[in-house]
Amino acid sequence: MRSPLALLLALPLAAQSSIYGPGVDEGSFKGDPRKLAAAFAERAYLLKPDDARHLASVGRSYLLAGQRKKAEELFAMARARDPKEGDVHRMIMSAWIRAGQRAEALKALEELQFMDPKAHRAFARGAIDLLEGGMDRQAEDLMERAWMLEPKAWEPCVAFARAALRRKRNDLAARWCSRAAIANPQEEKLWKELAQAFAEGGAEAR
Amino acid sequence: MRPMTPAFLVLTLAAPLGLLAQVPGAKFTESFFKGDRKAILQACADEARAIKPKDAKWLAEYGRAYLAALDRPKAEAAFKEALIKEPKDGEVYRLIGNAWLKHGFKQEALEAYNRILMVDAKNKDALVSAGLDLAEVGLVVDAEKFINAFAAQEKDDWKTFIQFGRAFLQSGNRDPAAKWFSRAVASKPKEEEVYLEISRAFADSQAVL
Repeated sequence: MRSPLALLLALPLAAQSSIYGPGVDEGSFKGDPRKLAAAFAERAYLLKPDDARHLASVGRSYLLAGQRKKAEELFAMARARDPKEGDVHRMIMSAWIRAGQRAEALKALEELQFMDPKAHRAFARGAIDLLEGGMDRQAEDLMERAWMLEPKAWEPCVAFARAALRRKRNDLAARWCSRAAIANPQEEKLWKELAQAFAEGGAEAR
Repeated sequence: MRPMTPAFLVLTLAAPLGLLAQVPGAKFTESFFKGDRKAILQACADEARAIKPKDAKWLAEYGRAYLAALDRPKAEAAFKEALIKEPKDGEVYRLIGNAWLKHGFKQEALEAYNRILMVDAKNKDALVSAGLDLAEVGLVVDAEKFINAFAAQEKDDWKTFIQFGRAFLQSGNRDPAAKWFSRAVASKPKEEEVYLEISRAFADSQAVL
């Protein structure tokens, strides 16, 4: 049985039925990217309304499509589904950062650290999101926290250094490259990734 | 204030005593990483090569690092050595092609990429990576050679089709993006991830569309 929210979200479907199932073709992808983002987010939600991470992701799409109220409802549902999962809070924080909403991002950051205090992976990923969003002080603090929980993990250090290079924060990149080098100097993949990071100004490699 | 970790203390105390060279990775201090970019690149590439010297893919990556350090002769030497070791590995050609592409050498890049189709046309990973590399920089016709070659082998790989769509969208090419998104939907019309990923692709590409 669909929730009231699901029924509410379903109302606009009638106006955009070509996107939702049979009859989807290349023409369905033309038009305003924001409307398309929202329309596909709606479909994604209706197909899986129960998973916390999924709800947070869908909320992010709504937020970037300019539908803040829907996004907030989905974020609330996500938090209620899995309140102690750090990555859910991290995804919500990341969405707010991407949307340029600093105050909301800071609230989500607080929840992340309070609800799941040992979530070193979520902290490391969140630190990158904060750095990319220009919230440098918070990024550095969160990355330090991640590192103290897991000081032998070189990969998050390199990922953060890459993000620092993309932001032209060479001082920060240097610090985290050095920590990665200390963590596992015998790992050849580490050196390859450090070389790539400096080669491409921090751009993500494939 | 930075925490005074054991490693940090070792490095700061060992240096004046000349003990630095004996600590693994010891020369790679924060000061080192603030230094000359070319020197950093070369040192890291050399370090990796010292640990694992014989792998063709690593050689291709080292070549990429040397290219970024503006050392074309060393880069070409590394690429040549990689291809001698693995003359029929599509991924090695892809890595070399990507290295050239990232540094603005389009002709050299396409020559390397095209070799994939000649020597290792069934290497799906190499086809996908080549297609994505080229789609992301807007080389639509070249990208589609590899993407179509992959799709001929994997008709229902919706996750990869979405990656293609996303890559085209990010370079502002909506028509090929639409084609691959619609193929993804046709392949798995009831999969929520399909719609979520398409939604994300449009949400994230607003600035370029």
